[in-house]
Amino acid sequence: MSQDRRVESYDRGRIEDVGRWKDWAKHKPGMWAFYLHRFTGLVLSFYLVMHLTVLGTGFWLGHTAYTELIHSFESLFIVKLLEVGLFAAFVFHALNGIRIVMFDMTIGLDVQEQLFYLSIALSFAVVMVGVPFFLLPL
Amino acid sequence: MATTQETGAQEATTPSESKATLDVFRYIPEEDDEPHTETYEVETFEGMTVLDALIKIRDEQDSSLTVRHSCRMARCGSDAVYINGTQRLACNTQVSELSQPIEVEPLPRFDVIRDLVVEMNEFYENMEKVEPWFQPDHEPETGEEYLQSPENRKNIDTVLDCIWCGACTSSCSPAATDSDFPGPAALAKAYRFYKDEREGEETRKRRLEMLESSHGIYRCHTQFNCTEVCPKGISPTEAIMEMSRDAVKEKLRFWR
Amino acid sequence: MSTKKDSQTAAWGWFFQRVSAVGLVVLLGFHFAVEHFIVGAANVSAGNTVERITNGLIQGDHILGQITINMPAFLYQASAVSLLGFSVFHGMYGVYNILMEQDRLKPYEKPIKYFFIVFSAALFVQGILIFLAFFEPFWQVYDPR
Repeated sequence: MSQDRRVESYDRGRIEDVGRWKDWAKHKPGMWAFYLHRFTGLVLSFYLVMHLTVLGTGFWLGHTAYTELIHSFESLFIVKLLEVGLFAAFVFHALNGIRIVMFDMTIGLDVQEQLFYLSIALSFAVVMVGVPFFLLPL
Repeated sequence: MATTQETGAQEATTPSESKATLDVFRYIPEEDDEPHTETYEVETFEGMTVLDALIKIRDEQDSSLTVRHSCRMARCGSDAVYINGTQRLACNTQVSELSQPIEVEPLPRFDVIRDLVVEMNEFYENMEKVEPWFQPDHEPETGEEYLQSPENRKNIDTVLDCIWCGACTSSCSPAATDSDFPGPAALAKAYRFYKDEREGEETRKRRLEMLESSHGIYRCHTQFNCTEVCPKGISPTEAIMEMSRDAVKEKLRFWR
Repeated sequence: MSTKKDSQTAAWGWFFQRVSAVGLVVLLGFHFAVEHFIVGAANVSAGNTVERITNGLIQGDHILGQITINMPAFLYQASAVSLLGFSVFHGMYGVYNILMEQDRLKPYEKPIKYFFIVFSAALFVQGILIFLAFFEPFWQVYDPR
């Protein structure tokens, strides 16, 4: 039925406002939570594949090579910084994930924005506490 | 004000003679290859809405400007547009509260037929897919009336207000990327019937069965855009979360 | 309402995503704690990894000072394997879902699904092999020196 009424229309594409940067200022907490959760999820998934591969190759070469591989990575400061980033991604993804599981149990849907701010604040706090563990010894 | 005009003494700029600038998305398929933006200036009056401004532009400046509208009081749901980056009803948005220039565009993620008019057929099809009509599976308990308790009615108070404007579905990214996902409006509508105790257990189970799939209620990622933009204050997210919780409990029950 | 019905209910996938999520908060948190807070990433070696996996002995000398935790070996091993299983499932199922909600990938639904099943299995097997290689019967094979 609706096929008969269909008129010529201009397809602007589906996700147009992802590319419109000024719209980003209009995004509300719930949307930011979604973007960050998805971004950190992809970062962590990619890291998982890399982690298993790197450890695996270190491994096929034997225990000594494994230890040397880890030491050579950990001696680079950039690696320590990236580890802090990884930790931050994990902490946010975990805390926001808890927020989502709460929504799945229909708890806290009316305070969703405050819960997002709470997860951001807690993530920041936990990461700050953890930074010395990753960066030291210099 | 009338005396000033009669005497023509000076050019008074009383508050009611301030102006508003609107940047309006224009696209006339017979003439244009690509859409473009046209800027209009209108004189405002107290309490002017964006719809008032658009009608004024159409009446006084550019009669080719097209926008859907009908009731002008947020009941018919015709004039949902994208104003300054948010989905809103044009008749329900005050010009004075918006930052200038006011950018008016058709709803995102819908195809444009002309100017601010979008293709709504897909939206209506999704609404129809959830079978938005009363389907009792038993005879009424007493007489000819199906009885509903006030508590049960309270559950569906907000979702009953849906005016099918399409703002929520326009703001939802899974609705945009996944054509199998019905969208928040359709799911909230389904919830209205799912929650209604007058339909009976069998129908209730069947309704849930229709929706529970990875392209159905589980697709909601709790972006809450729908809840933010709904002009009637409905929260489709809450409705969807409740249904997915029930669906999972239902589906996993037999193995536990 | 979806026009397509999953052959098996998606409720299980949804449910296990949540189960693995909660499990990961605990297990991955523990993993970070052991590797980074107790032992310290630079101090990790094949030797102390063997100690942790085969004996459940977690020894570290990092910022918090000398810490020794003795846990039942089986418990540590179970946590390691669960961590592997949960993280592979949670991550791969998550990415799979992101791809499945894109219309333009609809024609490739079946191949993508099989790819993810195979890829996840491969990741899990890889992880198990790494895990096993820390046990004595296996490490002779893996250490050429």
